Amino acid sequence: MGILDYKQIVSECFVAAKTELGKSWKSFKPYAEHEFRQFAENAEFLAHLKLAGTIENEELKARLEIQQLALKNVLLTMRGIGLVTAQNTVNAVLKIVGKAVSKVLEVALPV
Amino acid sequence: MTITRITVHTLLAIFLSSCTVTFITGYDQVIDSTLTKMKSDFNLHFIKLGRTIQDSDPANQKFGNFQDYYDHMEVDLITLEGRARNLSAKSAIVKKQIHNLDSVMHSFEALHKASIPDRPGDDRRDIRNGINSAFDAVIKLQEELKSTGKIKSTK
Repeated sequence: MGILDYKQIVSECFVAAKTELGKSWKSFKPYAEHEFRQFAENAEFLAHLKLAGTIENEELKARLEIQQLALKNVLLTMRGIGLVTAQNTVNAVLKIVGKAVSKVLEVALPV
Repeated sequence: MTITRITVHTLLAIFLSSCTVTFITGYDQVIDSTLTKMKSDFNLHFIKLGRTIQDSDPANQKFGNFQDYYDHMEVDLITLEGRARNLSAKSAIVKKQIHNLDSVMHSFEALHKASIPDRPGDDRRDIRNGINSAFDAVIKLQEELKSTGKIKSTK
């Protein structure tokens, strides 16, 4: 039975985590930026209509409700992406550790 | 003794190699394709509606003229709710999103029912943008969930 190279395992796990987080951030950042900018623009547009007397309170409320619900969905997606990232990172680390252990034990495993 | 130790180590290795954790699920092909269709239908509807609120005819944007779109929308929402209901407990986020989307679309329907008058300078872009954001959010998470589990080797 061989010896586990902890240094190598930690190094591989770190690379895996960094890769997963990097992939997620690459996808997350432009999406979040676009959506937050969009909501700011929509709020500004509605404020302008209200200040100009174009729309009444009731219509403003109804249109803001759509914004609020849409923003909730955007925030839920961000939370979901965070969970997917955590899940992929943990699984990547488990795979590395599993491979290292099976290599040391010299047993063929269905990895 | 040695045999027992080897067995334990082998079992540990098997466990580690086959062990995966799941924090979130919720990808559903029907939800994914229905959302894409609904987004396309909504934008087509909004282009047609937008044309009627920027002209001088105060009657052509009446709700009744667009009833067909809302009927189809209702059918699609029923499909989404039905599929979401059957998702596992780890799909709570997707379920909430479908519920929110249902509320967004019904708020929009109620707004149209209450009348969308001709109004120069107010093209209702906030409504179009907001609803597209609500769709995009669910579609984006579906895309992320679809590719989950495809772990690429770091070597």
